[in-house]
Amino acid sequence: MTSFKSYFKSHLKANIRPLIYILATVLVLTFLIGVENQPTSRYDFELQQYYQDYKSTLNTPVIFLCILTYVVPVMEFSFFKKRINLDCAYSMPISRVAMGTVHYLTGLITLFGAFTASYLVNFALLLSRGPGYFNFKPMAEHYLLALLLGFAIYSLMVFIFNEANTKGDGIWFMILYTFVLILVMGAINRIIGDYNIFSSGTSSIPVALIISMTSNYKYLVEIDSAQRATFWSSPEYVSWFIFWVVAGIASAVGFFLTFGKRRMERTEEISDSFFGFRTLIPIYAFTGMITFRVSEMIIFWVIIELLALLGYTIYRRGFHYKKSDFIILASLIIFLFIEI
Amino acid sequence: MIEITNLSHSLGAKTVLRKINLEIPDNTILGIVGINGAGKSTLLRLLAGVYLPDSGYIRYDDRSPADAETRKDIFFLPDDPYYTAFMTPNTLFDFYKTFHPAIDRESYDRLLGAYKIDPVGKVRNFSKGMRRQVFIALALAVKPRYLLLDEAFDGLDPLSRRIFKDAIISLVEEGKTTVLIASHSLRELEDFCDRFILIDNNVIKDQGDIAEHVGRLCKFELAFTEAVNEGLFAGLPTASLMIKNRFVQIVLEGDSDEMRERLEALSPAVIDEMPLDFEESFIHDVRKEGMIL
Repeated sequence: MTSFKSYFKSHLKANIRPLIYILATVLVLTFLIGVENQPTSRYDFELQQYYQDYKSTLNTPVIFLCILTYVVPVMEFSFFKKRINLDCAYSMPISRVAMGTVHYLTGLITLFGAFTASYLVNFALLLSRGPGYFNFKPMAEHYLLALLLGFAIYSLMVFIFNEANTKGDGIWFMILYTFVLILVMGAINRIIGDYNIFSSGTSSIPVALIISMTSNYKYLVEIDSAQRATFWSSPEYVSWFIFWVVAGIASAVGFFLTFGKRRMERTEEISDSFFGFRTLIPIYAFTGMITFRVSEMIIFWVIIELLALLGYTIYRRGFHYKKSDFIILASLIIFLFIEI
Repeated sequence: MIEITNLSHSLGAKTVLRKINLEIPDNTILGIVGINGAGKSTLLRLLAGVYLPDSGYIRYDDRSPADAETRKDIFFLPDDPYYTAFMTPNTLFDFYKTFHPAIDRESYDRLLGAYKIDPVGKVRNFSKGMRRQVFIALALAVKPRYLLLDEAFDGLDPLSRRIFKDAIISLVEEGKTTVLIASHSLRELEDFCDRFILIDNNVIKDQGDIAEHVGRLCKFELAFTEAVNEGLFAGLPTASLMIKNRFVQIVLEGDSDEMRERLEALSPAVIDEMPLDFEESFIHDVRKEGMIL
């Protein structure tokens, strides 16, 4: 416990510089965007009247939150992707789980700290415009919900990044996980016969859900807004919200269960995790092919086959394909001929 | 005491160590030798708790290095130690103090002074030898019960090596530290290691006292009145033989007095016994095992 506390202090101290840089950037940009925000006069055709569109700039802190849920895991856990660092870290008198927890918590502090600071600056700027323009009550709710989703996405990205054996592969995993469900949704919609392939897909991108949620809360905050739809009236949003929060909690649990068991000697080697390329490339390839399941789009199939090959080249770091890779690639071709 | 029992470990598909059994008494300086890729660094990483063994176990007085508590007594200095771009010897000290609160500042400063290292200079700007000196100073300031060193002499000048060796010897003499040191520089190990182990082909091929090991071989230089060939030495327990016309250098296995008598029976004009060091002895061993040409 002493080592945990002292390492936490030491790690925070060592990371104070990047933390300050992030905070400064976020605060300056939030301030500049907030100051530049001017109300505009618009005409509502339904109500047949002009109204002032006072932008609440609620998106500003949320966009920073979204960016940081990807940047912070890379910042905090890149340390564990180099053998030279692990020789030192793993021989120190602190358990691996405790060390991972320190990095996880430091990341969370960075994320929440930057988001909260940006939110407060934005709030102060809105407040400075005087009474009657904004309804501030929904902001507290929005702040907490965004924070919850931020925690979920951060935890998911921490888990995914740590499934990779190199920093580069970790970044690939994060990118691929961001869009994997939209393709799965597209494929499902195709199979069940809904040709509007991405009809309910955007919220399957976790950061897109925060943006959608924020857009809805903006309508509540902006008093003169003509729209009054709420985030919670959409079953699609609610179910995706619950899904991502549960996924985030599961990822956090998964991270703590697996972090201490990772074999140091796999670091810098091929990232062979079940949660990585091994599963993601076939999912992307097959869902891609199902989604574009029309003969006129055969060119897409060829592109998907080539992208799968490129995926395996990145996965294997060269042309050292394995039998399982060829099986997937061959299956894709067979799948193509069956469809033709 | 360090106890290694049936320790096996693989890196990917390659078996690096197979059923290693070893007991290392306290206050010993153990040299770990072997050709490149023999598994010296892997063994040290297993001992440091960096790698978790595939099978078998390591015990430090019945405690596993997998437990963080055990690692309070261990200091592992790898071949390529960790530091960040902004670290100075002073900040490195603070970093290690986080984990080893009893680290001795006075000893650290004294060694940095002896090595003429700037305590506020950026470690990344130091030469390899200077970086090594900083980490050696750290290792010695921690005064660990078990000191694990991988290629510790790499990049050190002769004076630094002497300071380092003296410091290690005094740590061991104080009765506080057991040192395990893997090195390619066998000449460096010879004059201060109590024991050695030779790792080859995934197992401990040989172990024991260095002086005794070296004493198993003897080296002679001979000059004959006319050219000789290999056939002349056929009956001898030859470890290595080099003939240049009338001149011969021969390394024999066995007692040097007995070997001298047998060589004198070949009627050389001149016979001289030459000193044989640990490195030469090691080279003969690995040649004998067919590890190198």
